[in-house]
Amino acid sequence: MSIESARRRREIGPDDGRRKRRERNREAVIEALLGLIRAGDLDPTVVKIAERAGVSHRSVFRYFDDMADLTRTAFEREIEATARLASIHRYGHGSSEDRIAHLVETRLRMYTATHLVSRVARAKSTVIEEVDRQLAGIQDAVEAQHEGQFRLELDRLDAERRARVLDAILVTTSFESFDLLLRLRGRSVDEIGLTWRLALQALLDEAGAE
Amino acid sequence: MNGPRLRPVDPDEPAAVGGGGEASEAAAGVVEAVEEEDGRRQRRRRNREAVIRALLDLIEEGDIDPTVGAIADRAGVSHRSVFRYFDDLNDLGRTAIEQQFRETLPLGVIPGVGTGPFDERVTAIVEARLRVYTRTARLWRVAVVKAPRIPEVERGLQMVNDVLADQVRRHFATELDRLPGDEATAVADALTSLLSFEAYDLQVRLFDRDVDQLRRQWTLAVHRLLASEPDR
Repeated sequence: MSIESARRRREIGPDDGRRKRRERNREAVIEALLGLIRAGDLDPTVVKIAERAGVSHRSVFRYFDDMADLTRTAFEREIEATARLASIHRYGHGSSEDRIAHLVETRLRMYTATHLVSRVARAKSTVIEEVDRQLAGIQDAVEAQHEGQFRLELDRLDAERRARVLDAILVTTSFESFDLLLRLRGRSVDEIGLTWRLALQALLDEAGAE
Repeated sequence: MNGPRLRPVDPDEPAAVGGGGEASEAAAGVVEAVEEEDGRRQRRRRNREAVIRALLDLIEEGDIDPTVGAIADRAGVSHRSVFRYFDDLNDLGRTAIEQQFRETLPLGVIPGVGTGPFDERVTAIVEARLRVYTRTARLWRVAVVKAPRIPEVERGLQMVNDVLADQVRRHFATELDRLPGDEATAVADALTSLLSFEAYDLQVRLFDRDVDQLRRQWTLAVHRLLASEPDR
């Protein structure tokens, strides 16, 4: 080993180790926040997050600008991790009834899996603009999914009614509706499923008639 | 109006200094003491109001968890006096939310709930909800942010939601009572969530819908949910 490469190694080696440790700790902080929320602590303090991640309180803000930065990074992670849950069985195929059932099933699966983190994301979206944009982005994708799933029924409508029916479908099967019925109305996931299927049938069945 | 001044008390105005030439000196002393007491009470009330307003403003501006210092600065009162008016920050948050709900919820009342032709009832509930949500949107968002950490706020939201759900059931009892039990519950639930503040906020804040689009959507959806008599 030349002196030159040894020197380089001294310079790069420890740097690399530091970068890896940094990356590992950063991940641990993200996981700690998500873990605490999933365990029911909807508003964990920095101290608690640091403790769970096994890093010092101060270092949390070496990895993230502030709490808002950490929060939106964690939500981004959750969105990526659960994206696969959003795919609909036999997308766009089958009878109207089947397509409604498959969509409802997909939404319920997603919301059940992400309930507490989603709840916190909604609460934070009011105050962290970035989270607001994340959620708006998801809604665009969801709306496109509805258009594909119910093209047959929607194509019978004029532009204005089509837009309003799409809005109603989006709201009916939204996380907000799930949370309201489950938490505030005390309904079971099965009961919510029945409610949503009935509502979507009513919204789409009559789609042609005036 | 003649005789003693019976001007309504305006809490935003300093205590009015009264005074009648006919009052004896002793009476004047009592009046002064009472006025001073009154003045103190009004100042206290004014400051308390300013603190509540400051909290709501700061949260609205994006400070999810304003410090006592920030609240005091905005309200123009001393840091310490915030805790003369409130036990702690949760007490302040809960009081602010409760007070505004009490003031604004009457906007959601539907005169003659459950009576009249179907079309008119649909219009009545849609307008009542738009009225109350438009006026309380800010407060409601604060409540949603605070609910995870203040159990009283969570319970308050639950209560408000119960009232609104009950209103849906009573307003459309004629239509819902025709359905078998579990279906009536399901349709009432669908209406409750469709006409909820959460639905309003989702559309106005995230989808950029205007009030008119929301009005048309709600009217269309309520008609379909109740007129199509679902068979399952």
